[in-house]
Amino acid sequence: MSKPGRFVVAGAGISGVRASLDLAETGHEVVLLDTAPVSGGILLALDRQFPNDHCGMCRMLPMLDRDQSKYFCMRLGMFHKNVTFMPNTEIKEIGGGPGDLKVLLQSWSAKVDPDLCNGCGDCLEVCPVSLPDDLADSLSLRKAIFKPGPNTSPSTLAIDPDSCILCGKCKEVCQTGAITLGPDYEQTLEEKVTAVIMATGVEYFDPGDASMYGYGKYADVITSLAFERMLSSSGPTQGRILRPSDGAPAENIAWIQCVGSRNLRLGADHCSGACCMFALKQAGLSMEKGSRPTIFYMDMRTFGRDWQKYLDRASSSGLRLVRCRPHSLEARNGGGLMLSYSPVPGELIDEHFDLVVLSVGRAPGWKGPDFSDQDGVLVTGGSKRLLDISRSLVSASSVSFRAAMISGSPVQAEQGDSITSQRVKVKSKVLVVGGGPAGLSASLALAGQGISVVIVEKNDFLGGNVSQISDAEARERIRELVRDAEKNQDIEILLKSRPMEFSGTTGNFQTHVLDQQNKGPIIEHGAVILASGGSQSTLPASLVHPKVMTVFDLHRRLDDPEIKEKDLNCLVFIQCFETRTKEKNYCSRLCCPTALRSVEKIRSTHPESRIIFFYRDIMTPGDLEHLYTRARELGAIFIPYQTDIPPKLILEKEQVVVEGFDPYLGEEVKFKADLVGLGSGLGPGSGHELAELFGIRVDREGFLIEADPKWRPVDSGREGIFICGLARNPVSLDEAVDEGRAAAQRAMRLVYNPQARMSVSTARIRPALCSMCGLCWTVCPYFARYPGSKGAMEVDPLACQGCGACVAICPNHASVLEVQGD
Amino acid sequence: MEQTTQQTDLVKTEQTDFDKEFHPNIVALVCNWCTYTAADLAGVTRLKYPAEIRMIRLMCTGMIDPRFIVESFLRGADGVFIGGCHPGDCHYINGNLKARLRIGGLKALLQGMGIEPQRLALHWIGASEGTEFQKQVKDFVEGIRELGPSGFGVYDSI
Repeated sequence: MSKPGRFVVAGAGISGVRASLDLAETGHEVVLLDTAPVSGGILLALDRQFPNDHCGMCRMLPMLDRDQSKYFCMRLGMFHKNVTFMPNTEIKEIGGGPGDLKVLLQSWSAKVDPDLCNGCGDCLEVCPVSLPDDLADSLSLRKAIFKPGPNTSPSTLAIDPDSCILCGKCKEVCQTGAITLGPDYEQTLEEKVTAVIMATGVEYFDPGDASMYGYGKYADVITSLAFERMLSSSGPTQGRILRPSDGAPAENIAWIQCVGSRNLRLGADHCSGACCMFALKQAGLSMEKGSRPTIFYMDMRTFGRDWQKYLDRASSSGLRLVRCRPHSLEARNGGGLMLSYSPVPGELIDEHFDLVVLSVGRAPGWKGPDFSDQDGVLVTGGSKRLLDISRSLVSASSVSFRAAMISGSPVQAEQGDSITSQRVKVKSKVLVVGGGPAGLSASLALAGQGISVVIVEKNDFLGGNVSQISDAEARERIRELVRDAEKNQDIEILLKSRPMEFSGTTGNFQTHVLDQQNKGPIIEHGAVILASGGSQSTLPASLVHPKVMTVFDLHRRLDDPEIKEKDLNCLVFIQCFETRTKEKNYCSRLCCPTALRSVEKIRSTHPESRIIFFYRDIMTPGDLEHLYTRARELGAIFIPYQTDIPPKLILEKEQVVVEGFDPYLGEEVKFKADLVGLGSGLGPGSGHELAELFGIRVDREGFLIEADPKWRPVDSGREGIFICGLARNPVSLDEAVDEGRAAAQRAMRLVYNPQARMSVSTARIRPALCSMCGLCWTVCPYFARYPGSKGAMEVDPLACQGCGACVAICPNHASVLEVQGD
Repeated sequence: MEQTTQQTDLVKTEQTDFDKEFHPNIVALVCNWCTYTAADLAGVTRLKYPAEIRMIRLMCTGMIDPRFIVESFLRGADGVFIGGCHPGDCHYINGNLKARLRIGGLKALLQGMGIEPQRLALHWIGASEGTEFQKQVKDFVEGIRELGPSGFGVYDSI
């Protein structure tokens, strides 16, 4: 039992909030700070998220303390008893070593006393300064004294020190005396902490700087962030889509993608990684409000598991997609804009739009001193890589686990809790199914915190199928993980085994693991992490030919001396081969980067060979965009194709011919290929079997489904069962390792204390009244009900989340919902 | 707020317009995560909504037993307003869909009992939709005002 650690998390956006909650949930203390007066970051502006158009932010709140916290909605603010939120604060200096850092924090005066301000808004009327509102990205104006978050509660106002002219009018009208306008004071504070997590987030590109598409000149050209506020019922137009120039309803709306990203002229050789989906969401929501959207795009980057399906849904409900970058835009008499674009060579189209939305790119936003090289300082979120919300959460959980590891073994939660005294005994052992990168990183993380782990692996070796799909460097990393796991005394490894029977309640599961002789132990464990992985898709028998292989095989084969010396006149890559189609409707993420990496390798040995890519959309999110740029520099030729006319492979004895249609030339093209790489993707392994055994959801393609794609990415729908890695979605090695650690973090929260606390509101059965009809069993969304041995249904107390569905359905009043301390 | 001030003034002064108007008893059963938060937001952003509603917070609309609604009418409610999360946004996965099924069925029954189905309403109001909450509650109360008292209360009035 060790002392709780103390951590500083810089940046209260989604990554910072997730990291803080993770640490707080396992008993640590957190100082969460932000330069803004409120927490939430960019999320304050976003009402709904892709790929399901839901809000759902409350789902990421801790199961226990959400009941005790004052508010139930993350939009209102950040509330947790172990987290101290410091607004208007930044890090000045970090000294000391890991485990014992000295952090110098500087806060500036809030000028409005949060304890006194009641948010009446009298001051807003008298403030003489008006300036564009950052939150609505200049769509509306705000005063120098303003409400920093649309939904924050209490709705304390804040003064922007940069624009305030200190006229004192607000102070005169303030009835509670909350405003002090004295000289600016700055306060410094030293914190002694275990580690610092930097989650300083991203900055959005300002199209006004490069005067792109008349932004700033034409009122009807707005950024995607401003449009987001327009869609919101708490925004300046209260959810109506209007032309800012004259307030008329906007019907025809155009989105222009990649503004400020994927632009070498601006030095932005990166993809922002989320704007395609962001635009799809906005277009979809605008259709619900009666608009006709068109998206002008370069590549539609739908690289997440369900994202391609989201795109398909949007296009089938009337979204128009045009692949080209519009070259100019002009205002038209009588409102609206004229957009000129050229979708195919030689054709110029002028089209009228009421509103043009620029999908602005992102870049890491931290302008202060860089502490990232310092020991004990960990970086996560958008400040490290450009991620969407769910990846940010995974990355933040992973980093918070690494931070917690610096502080040593986990802390015990305090025993005497006034509200939730009810506790359930749990086994502090975790079963990990699958010994690939995700499973290994999860196991190592848990074992590092003193929790015993059992790895069940079906092969006779650890490491999974990574060797199939990766290069030498990745294979070395995996070998290292395997070595560490084999050395670790807290990790028990069962090879050539599989889980066969699974039973019990959350915190007290029993799994019968069988080896090939159908013998094996029954393992009692508190949680289970499913990291069963997957493999590359095999090519159909009709394509078996020595010159045809998957992009992964091809990439590996390039190291063969035989290939190196061979004449290679022409290599053809066909991306999205039989994927992102009806049968297999997801992007595998790794084929594009792998094929593009091959280009560099081929060029080093065969500088003269032709390299042809047939592609639908090149999926190189974030910094992977460099690979695409590099491949073009090295002379690879990229030919887009449509699903209705895919390139054809003609296999002959000695040679392979690839035929396709080049839309830029406007004619058929034919290549005699010496090697053909097919981007046929990855697939999950034993998803369906595991889903059936553990009673969790699985999609048609066999990927395990998480509780919420955005907010609970590594939780399955059933408490105590966590999912990660390729079993859940196609991921790179780094992401698999992160997901493993994130799943470990979630499991840890459940098992670190042998006496786990129960949620304050759980259902209870009055056994005398129960007739075992089973209605509650079927209606429970959390699998928290099971037929007990004493002639009555029983409740799994850690899985029950207190929704009360069983109370409404029970015909005998046997099921009751108990809320303590309410 | 305005109306409450008037109400207290009533004690001393003569009848005002407020007193002449019919003030229905409205029971609002709202879910903790979305609609209750929206009501809270409406409050902190100072949006006025009719004072006739009596809000009851539940964890989820999926736990609304049809008996709660019938009981409300029996005890003199003139209308029952139910607010939950948007479909798919339920904090408890699908509780709001369970509510939709039940309330759809109950509406048909209410008609048989002689209660106008318009007296029972189900709306999806998300946590950030304070204005939507205000609008729906206003519209509902106005609708009930036009319908008049339900006359169905058999117990003491609430």
